[in-house]
Amino acid sequence: MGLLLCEKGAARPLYYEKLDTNLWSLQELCYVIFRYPVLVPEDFVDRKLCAWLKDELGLSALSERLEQLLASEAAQEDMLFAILQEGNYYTSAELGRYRSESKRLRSLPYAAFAELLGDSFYQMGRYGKAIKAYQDARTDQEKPQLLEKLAAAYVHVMQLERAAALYEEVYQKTGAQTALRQLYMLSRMEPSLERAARCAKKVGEEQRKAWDEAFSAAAAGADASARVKQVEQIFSGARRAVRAEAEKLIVRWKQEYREKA
Amino acid sequence: MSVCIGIVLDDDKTTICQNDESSLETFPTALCWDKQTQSWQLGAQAKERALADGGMVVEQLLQFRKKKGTATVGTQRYSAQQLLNCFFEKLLSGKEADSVVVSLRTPERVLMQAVRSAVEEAGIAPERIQVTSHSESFVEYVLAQDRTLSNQTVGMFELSEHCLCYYEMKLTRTGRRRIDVSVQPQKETIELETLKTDAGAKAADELLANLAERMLGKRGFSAIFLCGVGFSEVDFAASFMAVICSRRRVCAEVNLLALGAALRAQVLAGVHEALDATIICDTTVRAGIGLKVIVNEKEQVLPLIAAGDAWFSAEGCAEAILDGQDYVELTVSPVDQMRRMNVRVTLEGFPKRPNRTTKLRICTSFSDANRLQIRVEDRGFGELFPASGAVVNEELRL
Repeated sequence: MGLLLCEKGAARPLYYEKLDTNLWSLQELCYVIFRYPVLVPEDFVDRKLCAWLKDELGLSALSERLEQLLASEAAQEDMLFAILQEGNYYTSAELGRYRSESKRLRSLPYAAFAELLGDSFYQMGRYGKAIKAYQDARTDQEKPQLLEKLAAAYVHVMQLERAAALYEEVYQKTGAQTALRQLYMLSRMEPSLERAARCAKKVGEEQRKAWDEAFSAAAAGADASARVKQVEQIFSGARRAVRAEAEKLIVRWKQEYREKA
Repeated sequence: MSVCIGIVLDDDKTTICQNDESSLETFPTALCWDKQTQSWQLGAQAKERALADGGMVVEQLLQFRKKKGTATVGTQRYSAQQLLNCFFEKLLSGKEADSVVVSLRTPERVLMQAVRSAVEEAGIAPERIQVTSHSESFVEYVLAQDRTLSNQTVGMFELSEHCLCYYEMKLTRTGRRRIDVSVQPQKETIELETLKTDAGAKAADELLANLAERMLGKRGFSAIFLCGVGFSEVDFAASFMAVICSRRRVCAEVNLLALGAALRAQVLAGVHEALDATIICDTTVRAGIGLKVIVNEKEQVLPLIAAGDAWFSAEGCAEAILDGQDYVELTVSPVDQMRRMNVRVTLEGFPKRPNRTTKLRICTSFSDANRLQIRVEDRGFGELFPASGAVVNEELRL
């Protein structure tokens, strides 16, 4: 517990393509390396990164050390570790755990690695990238949990038919209640989904009651949300104002949807 | 040869000293526009001109500036700052000063800024200007004298029109030299005109003697100084002199403060070296301010402001990331106490984020010698967690 002292930030950021974001400090760089280890590309530590560390953050010693490691063709893991050690952001215990986790990730089969990648993207709200990663993770032996994750990602990008197909597949193979619940909720959200409606008929009376309550509570929560209130406020205004505000809102929603990709 | 100017600026009188006592001038702090020469006049000349032309004389320039007054001189309206600028422009015109130090009785931020700005407008480079207080001028003068005069406590009585003050200076030699200066303005003052009468002189002597007994007691002093126009001759104050001269050396120098300011100006110009000591007075910070931080998993105190720094310009900033807490903790280390105080500032209204994703900018400054301002701003965590703009401001009385 405390305040972690920071050095000066960069005047020009480092663009981190995997997260489609700019990094402005050593601490942010440490954060993305540690938190999303599966996202770090193989060739992440390169001369460009070394130059940024030296020129923008004034970390000449670290930059030189990384250059030496690059020249000796050291493992990327060692170079990333050197960056994390410099950051004054993670404790030595955490760095030890990072080392172990890195080793474990390196030894994973491709499918398992791709699933973890999908999980990382899902956590960040990048559902489009999560979908691609989960699809890459699919093998001949389909894991039900993987299919459910893929379905959940589809729900977030409103591809409900695909989501329903996957949940149905999981339910048919395993009889999992989680999959059936999701199908029931999809049928409530979008009654025209035949697949979901079909499966919803299989839900028992008591279970239906409980899930209906959960759905109603979620709907009530959504109605009371700030976003819904904002829309209601817009529509309570004069016609011309409504049109103008609605246009702005739609542009923003489109942007948000694209950012999920 | 460098031209180093020390100025004592009070509302009633201004004293200007160029390099040393051979060039000293005192005049009323007054400004008037001379219609004949189409220029500004200062001091007694300003008053004469005003009488002759029926023009307006502007006095009490500092009070006027504090109140942000305006005045119409001739056909033009001037703000108080503009009048202060004209005053200094006229005062420094033709002197080609290498450095200027202005000594004020009350070092308030608004006045210090105003005076500094006026001297800059008069063409002096910012790094060659200092606005200080009479306390510092006192120290500068005393330490330039024989060392035996300052090896113990030094006292000083200042007697001017409507002003009676007692100053005291103590030198501590353990570790880095430290000089503690206090100034005690007295509620009772003496009208110098009354000294011309026997009754007035007697009353003044009694007042001064009582003051001296209260302030000095039986303590040992290496020297007592007398300054101000009221002590230009001391025949009227026999009782007072008996008290202060009892086993003490007494030195009188009417323009002590102006000479001290000029000595400081010489330091600014590089003619002399600065005093190798931490001065604690009404223009400097009385306590070191630090920030508790973690570096390489160890707690440290990052110094933000050092004791002895000029409070007017003292500012310390740092950036740090919150780790498992919702407050910042500062340390306050008064120079005259061994114990350090910890001050916690809670970050109310700051957004909740995952741990270690809130960077703060913590800035400290002083609004006067005893009031510390603390400002903590949420800087987010780059584009990963954008800043919210939340700010917490706190003031701490030291």
